[in-house]
Amino acid sequence: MLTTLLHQGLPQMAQGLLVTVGMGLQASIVGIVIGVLVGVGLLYLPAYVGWIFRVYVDVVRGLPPLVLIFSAYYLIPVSGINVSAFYSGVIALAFFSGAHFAEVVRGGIDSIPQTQTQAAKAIGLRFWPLMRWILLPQAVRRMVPPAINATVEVIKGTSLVSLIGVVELVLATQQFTGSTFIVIPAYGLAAIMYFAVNFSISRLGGVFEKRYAYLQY
Amino acid sequence: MPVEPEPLLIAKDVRKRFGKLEVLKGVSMEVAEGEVVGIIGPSGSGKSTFLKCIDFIEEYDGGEIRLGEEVIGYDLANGRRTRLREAKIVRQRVEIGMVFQSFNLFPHFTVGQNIVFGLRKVRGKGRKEAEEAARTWLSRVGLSEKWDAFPYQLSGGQQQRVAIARAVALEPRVMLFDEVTSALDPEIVGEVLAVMGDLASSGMTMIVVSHEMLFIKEVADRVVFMDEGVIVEEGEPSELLSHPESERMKAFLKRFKGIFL
Repeated sequence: MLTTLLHQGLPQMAQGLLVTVGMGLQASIVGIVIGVLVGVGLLYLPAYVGWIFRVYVDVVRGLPPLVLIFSAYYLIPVSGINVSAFYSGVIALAFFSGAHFAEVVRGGIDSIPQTQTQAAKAIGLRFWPLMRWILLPQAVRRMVPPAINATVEVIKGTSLVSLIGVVELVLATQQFTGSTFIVIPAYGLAAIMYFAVNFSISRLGGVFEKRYAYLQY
Repeated sequence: MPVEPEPLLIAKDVRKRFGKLEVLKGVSMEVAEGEVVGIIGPSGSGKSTFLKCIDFIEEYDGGEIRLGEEVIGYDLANGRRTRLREAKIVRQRVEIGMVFQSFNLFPHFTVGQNIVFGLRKVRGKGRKEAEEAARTWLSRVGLSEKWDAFPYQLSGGQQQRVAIARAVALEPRVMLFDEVTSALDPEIVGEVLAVMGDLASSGMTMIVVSHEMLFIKEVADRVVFMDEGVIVEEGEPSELLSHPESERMKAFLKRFKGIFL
């Protein structure tokens, strides 16, 4: 049984893990880009445009990611665009995490005292340099812990794309158990794999926090 | 008699409201090149808001503020009031230096970086030139040895001196000081005032909002008393501080009894 798990299950599940990590990273990266733009928009755009971002964030945060995944999988083809199941998943999860990252970014920037903005304005700094050099570097330290949470949620969320037929870690494990009936050890292995990935991400967060620890007030 | 030169800064009937509260009810003031004007008054009188309007950190709703030829923040052509484009406003702000009560150094930059940053990003100077200028100003405020320190490692007085160096290094045409010693321990106030006195005697045009009456009396060419959003009185410092005419200013100066009155 152990040899079957190691020789057949492990490679099969490792394939799935690669899909999981690949999808999670791509969705998170796009999500972070969305999050920065939307988060800054929430703070600084006049209300008559800003409300669109507010609606996006509130609606998406209120929906289960599975609904977003099905929506992306079934609705995008309706509009005539062909997307693979894998990229339906990436799009849905990017959209999902974008809303969460947006709140992280908004909260992080908002926690920096107004006086920093005033000081930067007083030396004649424009808006994006103010963001890039003054506000974001200070906000990043406060954004790291919640951003790590959001990223880990994305990794875990990828398990749902098994339902639209993407062979990621969960579906790969299912396929293996379906043909070999080695159930508990296989899912145990899958759990260890998920844990390893998410724990590494948390550690990475710790490194970032140390990197910005010199920031004191 | 010599011809009076055109004032560097002119504020005409400046008005500003926060919601229902009218904070500035028509403030007019002229500041000549090289002049040092002190603004005094009780808290809530609009002094700080007025300074922030000059640097356009706060928008103002009425009147105009003019630095040299240009109106700050707005285009007032044809009787209409349009906000200038961001790029233009930013360019105007560079000409106006401002120092705050709470120092507001950038905590993630070293002292050197705090000064160099604006010189490079805003004035577009090269690294070497910017660092040279920054070091010159840092030694002028007596803190050369703090180049690599972070703001949190400095005392309040030292931070404020760095903040002054950061602002002055950009070579603004006018410097605004917004209660810069109010957050400092009494024994530290002197070192900051000394730096400001040094600037004043070097010919810098300055508007100083302060409760340091002795400093204003000594350094300012003119003192302005504000209360409830208007200028109540103004005049030559030692004259006005010892013989205020308005009841409001008399009441305000009461706690300095024995010093001026």
